[in-house]
This record gives sequence, structure tokens and C-alpha cells, in this order.
Amino acid sequence: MGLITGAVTIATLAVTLGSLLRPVEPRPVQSGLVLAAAVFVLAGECGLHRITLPHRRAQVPSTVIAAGGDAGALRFGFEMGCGVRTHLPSNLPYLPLVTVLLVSSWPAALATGLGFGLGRAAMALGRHYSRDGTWWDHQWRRHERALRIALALAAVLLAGALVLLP
Amino acid sequence: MTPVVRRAIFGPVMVTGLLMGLALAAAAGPVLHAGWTLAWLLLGLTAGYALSGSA
Repeated sequence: MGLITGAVTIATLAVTLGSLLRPVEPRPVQSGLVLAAAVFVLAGECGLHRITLPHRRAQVPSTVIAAGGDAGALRFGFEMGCGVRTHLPSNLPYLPLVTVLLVSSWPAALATGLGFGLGRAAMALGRHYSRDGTWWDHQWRRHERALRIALALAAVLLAGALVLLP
Repeated sequence: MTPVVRRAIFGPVMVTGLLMGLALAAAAGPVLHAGWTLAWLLLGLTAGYALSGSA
């Protein structure tokens, strides 16, 4: 619940701030900015640049997470959901943020926040329900690069469709 | 449910593949027009899941 609350909070802030920008920016400019963000994120995931957008550098110590069992990360639900106070190994969360900021409506922003919270929960829950956290971690590390590129491609595809197919 | 099946269902490769498939379906024009909320939801989902392995 904390994950969803945190993510929806950030989405609400983004769509509120965006309501100041959207009326004064022409739609082609908004679409162009979202597509530029998409290309930047995808290029980063493919290893074409090493620029990281602002985030907290420190991770929650693994000993603290381990104290909560397989789903220990869920103890930091709000922080993980809003993404402000946790480590971000990827620039990908900036893509929905920019998209919500520039082109979304209120219901769309809430849906994106809900999705982000569910996505973060899916990691911890998947690890927990696999009943073998070590195996899950190994699978993630083994395929991490391909998985990150696949997820970035999916997000870029969705963001592109949302701004180009009105 | 056997451990092998359980791992296959909840493993990161399967979940990512599922998200990719859903994203492809949701980004198709007719689906986007009929159910735009799904595309926004999936945009958040993929970004959230991409942060796996961190906290």
C-alpha cells in the first residue's frame, strides 16, 4: 500500500506541476520533449551513455532489508513508491514522470502512479512467491542487461504511442 | 504448484516478457483508443519493475 501511495503522490505532484506547463506549451513541443526523454532513457539502458539523472546514491542496507524476510523491501513502501529517497539503478522512471508532467490528464497520472507502485511491488512479491529469493536474485543479475533493455523498449513504445496516437 | 512452475511464473524473465507483450498490445492503435488507461498503467508498471534489485 505504501508503494502505491508513494507513487500516486509523485504522479499527483507531477500532473499538478504539469498543469502550469501544458496550457502554454504547444502539443508538438510536449511530444518532442517526451520523445527526447524516451531516446535518452533507451540510449542509457543500451549503454550508449552513462549519464544518471538525480537520485539518492545510497541504497537501503541489505542487512536491513534481509531482516524483513523475502519481502523485506516492502517495509520501505512509501520511499520506494515515490522513488525520491531510494537508489535508482535506471533512468527509466523519469520517462513516465516526464510523460505525466507534459501530456497526461489526472486519471492518466493516477493510473501511471498506480502502475509504478504495482511494478515496484511486483519485484518484491515475485521474489517472495518464487519461494527462492537467491534464485530470483541470480536470475535478475544473470539477465539484468537484457531485462533492462526490454523494459526500456516497452516503456518507450508506450510513451511514444501515448504522445503520437492522440 | 511445483517449485519449477512457481519459479517460471514469478521469475523476472517471465514477468518482463509478460510486460513486453502487454505493452505491444496496449500500444496498438485500436487498443490505445479503447483502453488508454491500460497504456498509462503499463508505462508505470514497466518503470517500477525496472527498478528491481534496488531499494
